[in-house]
Amino acid sequence: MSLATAAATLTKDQALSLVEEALKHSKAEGAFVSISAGEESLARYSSNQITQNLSRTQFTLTVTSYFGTRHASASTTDSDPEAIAAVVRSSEALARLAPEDPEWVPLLEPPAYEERTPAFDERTATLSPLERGGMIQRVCALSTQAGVDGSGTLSTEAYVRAIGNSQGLRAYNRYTEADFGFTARIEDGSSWSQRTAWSVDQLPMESLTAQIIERSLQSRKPREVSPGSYPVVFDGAAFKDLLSWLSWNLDARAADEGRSFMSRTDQSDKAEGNLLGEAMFSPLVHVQRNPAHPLLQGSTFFGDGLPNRALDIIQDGIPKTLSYSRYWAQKQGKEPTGSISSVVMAGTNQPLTDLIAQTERGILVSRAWYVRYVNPKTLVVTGMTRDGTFWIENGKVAYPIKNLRFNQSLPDMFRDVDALSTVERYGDSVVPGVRVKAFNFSSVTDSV
Amino acid sequence: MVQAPAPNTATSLATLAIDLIRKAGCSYGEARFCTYHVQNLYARDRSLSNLADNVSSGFGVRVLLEGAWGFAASHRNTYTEVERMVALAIDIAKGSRLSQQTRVALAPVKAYRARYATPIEVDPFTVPMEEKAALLMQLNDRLLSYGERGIKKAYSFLNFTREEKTFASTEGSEIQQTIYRSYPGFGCTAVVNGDAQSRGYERAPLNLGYEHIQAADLLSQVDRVAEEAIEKVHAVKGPQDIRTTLILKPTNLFLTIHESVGHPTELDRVYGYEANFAGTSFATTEKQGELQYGAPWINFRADRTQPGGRSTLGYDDEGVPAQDWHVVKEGILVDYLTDRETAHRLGRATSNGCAYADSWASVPMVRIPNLGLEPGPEGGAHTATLAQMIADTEDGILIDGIGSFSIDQQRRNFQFGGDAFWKVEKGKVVGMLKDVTYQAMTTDFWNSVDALGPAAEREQCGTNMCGKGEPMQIAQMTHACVPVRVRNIQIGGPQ
Repeated sequence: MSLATAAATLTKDQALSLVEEALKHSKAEGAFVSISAGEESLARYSSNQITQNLSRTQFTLTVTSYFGTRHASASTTDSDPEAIAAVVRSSEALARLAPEDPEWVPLLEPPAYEERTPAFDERTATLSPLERGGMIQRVCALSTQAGVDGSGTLSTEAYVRAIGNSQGLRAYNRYTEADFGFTARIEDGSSWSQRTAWSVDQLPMESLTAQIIERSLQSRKPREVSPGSYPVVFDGAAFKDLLSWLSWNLDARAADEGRSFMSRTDQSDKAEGNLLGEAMFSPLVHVQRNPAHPLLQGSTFFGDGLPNRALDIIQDGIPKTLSYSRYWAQKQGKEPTGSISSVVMAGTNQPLTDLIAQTERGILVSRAWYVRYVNPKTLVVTGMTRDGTFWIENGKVAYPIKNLRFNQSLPDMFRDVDALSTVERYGDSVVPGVRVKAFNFSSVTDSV
Repeated sequence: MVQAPAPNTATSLATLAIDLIRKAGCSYGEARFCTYHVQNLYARDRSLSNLADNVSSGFGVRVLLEGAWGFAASHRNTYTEVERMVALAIDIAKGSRLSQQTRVALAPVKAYRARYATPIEVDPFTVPMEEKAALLMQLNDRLLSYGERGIKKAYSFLNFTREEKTFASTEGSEIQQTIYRSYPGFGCTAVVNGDAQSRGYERAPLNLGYEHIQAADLLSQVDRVAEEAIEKVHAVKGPQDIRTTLILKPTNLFLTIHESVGHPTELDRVYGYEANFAGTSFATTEKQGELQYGAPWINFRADRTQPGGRSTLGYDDEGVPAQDWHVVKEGILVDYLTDRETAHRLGRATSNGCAYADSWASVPMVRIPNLGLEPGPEGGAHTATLAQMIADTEDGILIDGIGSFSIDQQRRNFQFGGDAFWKVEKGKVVGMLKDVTYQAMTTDFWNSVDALGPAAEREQCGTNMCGKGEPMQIAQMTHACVPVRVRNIQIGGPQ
């Protein structure tokens, strides 16, 4: 018999009763239990018709058992009581065999979480396959009407997360997310964008489709611009994929150990702490972790139990905190922060078109693709432009240009930010479009 | 309510799913019941930070209703849930049908009733956990013993998987497969003079048992890896914005093959199915049999039957038998990587069996199989050992292992780094470099290869981290290859 009838509708009581069930079986000195469950639906379309269409019900219960400083974990996708008892036994058997862990930290005492309920939209959680198909049908019809090849995705998800430990910690969240991505291709032109929201009804599907179709038509017959350093206006969707690389590299341990762009060195180049408090970036750069942002309304806790609350990361271009794990915080005498997610970068009231209008000459980038480290220590990355790259001349989009490869120091890029637009949500981030004074392109491609 | 047989096994549940799909009038349907047992150990410095034993079990059903796809999956392996998921998959197909302009059709496949199991010598799940943990702690201890000379970080890992899959289709197939996977590796970082540089070693991810771990081999590499990390952090930076000769070891070349040959020849990409995410391909179908992909001595062969290969199995996730075939022959693009849907679109008589789903909850799609660069023939005009390539090079760079990698969405413009770089001068390796990247266009690069290693230097390198699709799926494959020498390649560039 299954204790749960449907993962997405696991109520707080149902989810926490599964946590209790696991803790009840624990014979370890300490135990931590987490449940991740959900219903996810996603339709993909290409050439103006659906090519893949799925729904899936998932459930994972993970138990970490502790004997002194020894620990190990085990997980199962089966919610039956026998399976839960078995996974507890499995984690305990492994934990007894594990070596002593010099980085062990005691189980978390129950923290004070925010009194906030993440957004859960019933319609998003229960959108039917026919409704989803109908929404895509309209996007495909607009694409067909415009003569473009439309492709993309529409997804809806309902999540449940529940955690508990043998110190009395208990927490539960459920929330929804919807995402729409659209690419329009015609001849040698292409354009793309994406939006994420906590309600499917907040996705601007038809207006975004019209906008992307128009941009794809403008992107045909691209000219070649020589590689070099240019001012660049980034659409928010493109900028988000660069900001992510910066936020992933704000780990305190990497910085303190001399492995990060945030590392400080002494006069003999020996690693000596980090660069928190230094004016490293443009004073326009304000970045927060803010799961309570109206566009996000995300979880109140992290998977390890730490609270997910607002955190100032960069203020006026000055890094204010790094990401401290519980172990590293204890070692450095700091407060643990949890991970840097739900990133919100402040924008302005001006639309992206104003940034273009204020640019004498430069490049408009709609999408940053296949961004990867060139040098993880200095945070130099490479990547490609894609799906609509344009030359800006005298405050106007003058003509489309061929896609370019970039090799760019991200700390330099964030130092050179000189204008911001309004914000949008992409994935779990809220970011503006930005303009940077100089961005380095190294080669051209014919790829569309 | 369908009266179900008593035993609640994967086979009986799959049979029920297929009966229900047939009764609903679908033109095609399949069910996959899978259990993945995954053991991961990861040690960071002197902490075994992750010791996890995870089991994921569930099923997915896919139906084709009037030419439109529907897929539904659940973790609950019960008769009731099978009924619910079949009904849901059919509802989803009805949603897909709303935008359908061209009905999906599939290349034919025979009905197979078969079993397959990865041949292994030692079941990794029977090896004591203490032994596995002790190996990782020993590796890290030895790496960190170089601390005085700058090695400040160490990591090591062991990954093991046993996948049990039962596949059944409305076409009469019932296939049971058990696939084992093993993967060990380690690395370290030297932090000196304000710089940090890493070096690693791995025994490539392969479908083998614990015999693949070879603790003695791993331990024998520790001193070399630590010494090379130290040398690398003190090395001069590589040249910028020059063109030179590259000599690439298989440990580096496999990723270049993966990105510039594997992905562009996935036929779903060619047809635009990935246009919104992973991208499309420059290697479009009118170029089949025409495109000079590489020099005439370049042959790329796909092979899902290769012993130990990470994508080696009996049947793909559409029940198509494992096969081997040329993708590029004597430098010419001759074939693609297909599933049944794309094979039909291309007009092939059958699929060549590249359908893969990374979970019971994922939809099968075209994935790169084992795809290798064939060795140079013995005595061939362009065949040379690695030592001969170096001895015959006036000025160049030798690269081992992988580092930075990036390629455009149609797979032309790529830029790769590596894990270790050495300057080659007047036929000799003269010292390490750091921070080197090479950039080229795919067909320019493969047409610039002037030397290939012999069969004796072939290595089964590969990856367990190939992302594609929405939702993202992670595939795993081997790219067995030999060292190559490539002329006149761009190094670095404007920064």
